[in-house]
Amino acid sequence: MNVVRFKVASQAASSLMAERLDLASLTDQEIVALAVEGREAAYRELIRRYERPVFSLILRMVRDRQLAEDLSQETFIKAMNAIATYRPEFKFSSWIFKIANNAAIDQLRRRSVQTLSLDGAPNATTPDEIEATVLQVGDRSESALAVLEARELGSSIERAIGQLRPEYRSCILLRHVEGLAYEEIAQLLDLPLGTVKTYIHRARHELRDSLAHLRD
Amino acid sequence: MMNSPLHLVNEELDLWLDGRLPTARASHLETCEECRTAAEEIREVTQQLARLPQVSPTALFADRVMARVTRVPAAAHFSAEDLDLWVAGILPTVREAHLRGCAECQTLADAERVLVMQLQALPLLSPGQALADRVMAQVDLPVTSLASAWRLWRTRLAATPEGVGIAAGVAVLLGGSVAASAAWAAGHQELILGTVQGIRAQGEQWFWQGITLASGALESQAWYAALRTALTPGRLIALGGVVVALYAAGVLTLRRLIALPSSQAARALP
Repeated sequence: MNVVRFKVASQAASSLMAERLDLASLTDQEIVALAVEGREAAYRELIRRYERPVFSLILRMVRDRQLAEDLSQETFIKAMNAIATYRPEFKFSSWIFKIANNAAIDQLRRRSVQTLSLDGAPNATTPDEIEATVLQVGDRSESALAVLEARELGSSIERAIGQLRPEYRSCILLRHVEGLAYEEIAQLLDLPLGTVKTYIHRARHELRDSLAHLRD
Repeated sequence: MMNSPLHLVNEELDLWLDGRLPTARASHLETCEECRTAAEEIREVTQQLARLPQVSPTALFADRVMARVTRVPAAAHFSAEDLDLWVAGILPTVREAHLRGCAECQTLADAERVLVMQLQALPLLSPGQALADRVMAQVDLPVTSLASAWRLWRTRLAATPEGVGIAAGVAVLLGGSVAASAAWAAGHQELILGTVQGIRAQGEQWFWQGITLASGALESQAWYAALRTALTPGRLIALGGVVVALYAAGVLTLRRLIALPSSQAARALP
């Protein structure tokens, strides 16, 4: 009985593996077309391709792992349920990043979270405000999540990114971490091209200033 | 055709020059001295402009332009755009030369390059386990055909051990029911045949009673005699033909109305 079960399971696994291998060679647009036809494997392939980029973008935006998990899940559910409205003339990555970025920005606006930055909220000016808004990693020392978060976002560059204004943060992450072109970012964020360039230049300027002490 | 009484506006005169003014408006020129004069004047000016000779600059014109093109930007400090191009490795050589003589821009450019490299080296972070499963549990997969419905059920059932268990249970239940029915039927053939014959006889009896009642009611109607006289065999055949043609047209129309668009056509919709 166990032998039969093993054979059935291995056959199912190998057929799934074969389908996954086939899908891996297709473009995003081709996979979306299969998803529109109702193929679950195509949905899973899209999630597999974009779960890390989307999660990275959102986590660096909101700087809270649990929140980023929830927002990533929300992003994919939204995108997958609206897959029929995706227009193949645009890049799928731009489409999913747009949804992810909107989710992160909405969240930041809703909460105007002052405790998200490891170094206190970006708009905290007095020592008291900074102290009050610092993410207290030490307070949650038992939490593996907090330790992981501190390790992931604790480097100087990550901390400097966390201090940027959200709109600068979106632009700089999309440009240099996700590798999108200026034009794609402008389209994705519904901003004029000049504004996107300005945001990115200012963000780089602020990052350079934040990291200057490391060079000295 | 009547000529339009309205004078031609400038845009229409432009169209006339290009030979693109609609005939209805162009015919206005035949009767309107004022517009014809204006049009001729414009044509004359345009032809004169076209005949103007090309004037050549002096031989050193290009050198003078290039001397200024290379001198002015090379002296200016790097702009944000320059930094972008430099980091991407596509800054024109003439601008790059500025770095050799400007320590300030060299420092800025080096810092910019280091920063961009640091940003590009940031790792991709992974979400927790089974994000795909959590997402797919809340995604409504489209069911576009029987085949996709079957695929959906098969994938969902095969996805978890519980699903496989349910599928196996349903299969055993159905198979067992069919086998039990067959076994029972094999042992009770006479009872089954008797019941079937009884139902059939009763059904036939009710059917003929219904026919008799309906025809009796029909014949008792006042208009029935007149209708029977009017419906000759030829007319009945013609009427049947019309009904069949209408039915076929209706079926064809319905098929066109309810046909699903092709996937390409569906994607082309806004």
